[in-house]
Amino acid sequence: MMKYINRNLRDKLIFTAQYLSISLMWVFVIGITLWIINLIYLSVDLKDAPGISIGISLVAIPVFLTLAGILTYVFVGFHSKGKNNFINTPGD
Amino acid sequence: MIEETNKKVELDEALYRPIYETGKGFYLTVGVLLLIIFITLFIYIRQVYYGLGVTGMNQPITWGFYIVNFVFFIGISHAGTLISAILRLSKAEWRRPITRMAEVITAIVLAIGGLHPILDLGRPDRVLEIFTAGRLQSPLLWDVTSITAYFTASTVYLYLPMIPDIAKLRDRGGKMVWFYEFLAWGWYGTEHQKKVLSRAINILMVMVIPIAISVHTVISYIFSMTLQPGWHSTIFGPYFVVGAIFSGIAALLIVMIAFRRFFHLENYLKLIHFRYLGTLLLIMSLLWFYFTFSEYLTGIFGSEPHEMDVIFYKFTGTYAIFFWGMVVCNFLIPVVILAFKKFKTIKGILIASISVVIGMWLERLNIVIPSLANPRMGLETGMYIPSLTEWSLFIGAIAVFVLGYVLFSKFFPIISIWEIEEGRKESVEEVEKRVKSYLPGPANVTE
Repeated sequence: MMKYINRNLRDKLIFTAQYLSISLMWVFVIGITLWIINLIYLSVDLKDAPGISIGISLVAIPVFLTLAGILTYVFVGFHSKGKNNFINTPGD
Repeated sequence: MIEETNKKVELDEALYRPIYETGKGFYLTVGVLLLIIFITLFIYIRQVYYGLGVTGMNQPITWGFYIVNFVFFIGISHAGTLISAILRLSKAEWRRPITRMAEVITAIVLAIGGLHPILDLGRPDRVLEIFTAGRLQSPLLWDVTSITAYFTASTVYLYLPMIPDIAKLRDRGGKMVWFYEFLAWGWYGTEHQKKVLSRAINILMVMVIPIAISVHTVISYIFSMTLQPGWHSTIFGPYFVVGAIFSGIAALLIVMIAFRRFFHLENYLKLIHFRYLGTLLLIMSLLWFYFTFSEYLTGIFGSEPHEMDVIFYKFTGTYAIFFWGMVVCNFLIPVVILAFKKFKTIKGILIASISVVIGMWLERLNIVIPSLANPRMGLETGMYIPSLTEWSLFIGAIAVFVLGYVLFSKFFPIISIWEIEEGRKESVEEVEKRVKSYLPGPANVTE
C-alpha cells in the first residue's frame, strides 16, 4: 500500500515538474516577446528606425511562439491518448 | 526470435556502455578539464577586476580574440542543427548515427560562443542594458535575437528526438531513474505518441534551417554593415554561412573520430560515414575557396586605397603568415586529402578536419584584426598581440566544450538508439521503394 502511495505521489511530483518545465518555457518566450515589444517602443519613442524594429519582431516573435507551441503540442500529445495504451519503446 | 532480440541487445549495448560504465579515463578527463576551467574562471575574474587593459586590445584594434572566438564558435554550431536537419530532410539514411552528435555540438558551442561578447564587454553587468536600452537598429541586437532564437530551436531540436532514448534509460532502471522519467515526458512508444513526435520533429527540421542560416548571416552583418575596408562587402552573409558549415562539418568529424576511438563505436560510425562527410567537407572547401577568391578579386580590381592597405597587410604584410596559413589549411590540405580515395582514410579525414578547424579560426582572425589594424584615418597601423588572459579564456572555452560533451555522453546515448533501430527495421524496405520510384518504368500503383 505504502509503495503504491509513494509511486502515485512520485508520479504526481514528476508530472508537476514536467508541467512546470513547460510553463517555464512559456515564461521565457513571453519574456522575450515583451523584451522585443519594449525595444520597438523605445525605437518609436526615439524615432530610431522603428520600421526595422517592427520588421525584426514580426520574424522573431513568431519563431519563439512556434517553438513553445511545438513543445506544448508534444507534451499534451504524449499525455493525452498514449498513457493507457502501453507498448514498448520503438525497436523493442 | 529470442536469438534475434538477444543479438540486437548485444549489438546496441555499446551505445549504453558510456552511460553505465565509468572508467578511470573519465574521471581523469573531467578532473583535468575542471582544473583548466577553474583557472580560466580565476583569470576572467582578474580581467573583470583590472579591466580590459589586461588584454591585447587597444586603439585602433578594439576587437580581438573574444570576437574572433565568438564568430568561430557560433560558426561551428552550424555543424549540428544544419547538417542534422538537412540530412533528415533529404532522408539520407546514413545520417542516423551522426545526427545527435551534431546536435549536441550545436547546443554546447552556441552557449560558449554566445558568452564571448560578454567577455569582450569588460563589465559583464552592462549586458543587462540589452534588455533595458537595446537598439534594434543595431546589428548587435539582431545578433542577440537570432542567436537566442537559434539556441532555443537547437535545444528543442536536440531534446525532442532524444525522448525515446531517455524512455529506454528510464525503463532500464539503475541510476537516476527519476531524472529520465522527468525528461521522458510520459513516452511509452504508442502509435499516437510516435505520430506526435514525428510531426514535431518534421516541423522543427524545416524551421531550424532558415534560423541557422540567418544566425551566421546576421553575425556577418556586424562587420559588413560597417564601412570598414575589408568588412563592407555584400558577399559576407553567404561567405560566413559557407564558412560556418565548413567548420561545422570539420568539428563534427573530429568529434565522431574521437568517440569512435574512445567508445569503440566502429559498428556504428563506419568508414562510409566519414567518406560521405569527407565529400561534403571537400565540396565546402571548394565553395569556401570560391567565395574567398571572389572577395579578394573584387577588392583588388577596385583598388580602393584603404581596401588595398588591408589586402596588402594580409597578403604580404604582418598577417601574411596567418592569411596564407588559412589558405593552406582550408584549401590545399583538405583538397589534397579528400579528393583522392587513397588518402581518404579516417586518419586522413582527421588531419583534413583539424586543418580546416585551424584554418577557419585563422579566417576569423584574418577578418577581424587586419581591418581594424589599418584605420582609414591618418593613424599608424595597429598591432595586436593577444595576452595570456585571452589565450587562457580561449583554452578555457575549448575545455568547456569538451567537458560539456563528455558529461552529455555520460548521461545520454551519443548515438540515437531508436533511430538506429528504426533504420534496421524499416529503412531498407523504404529506401528500396523510394529508389524503384525514381527509376524509369510504369507509374507506381499508389500514385
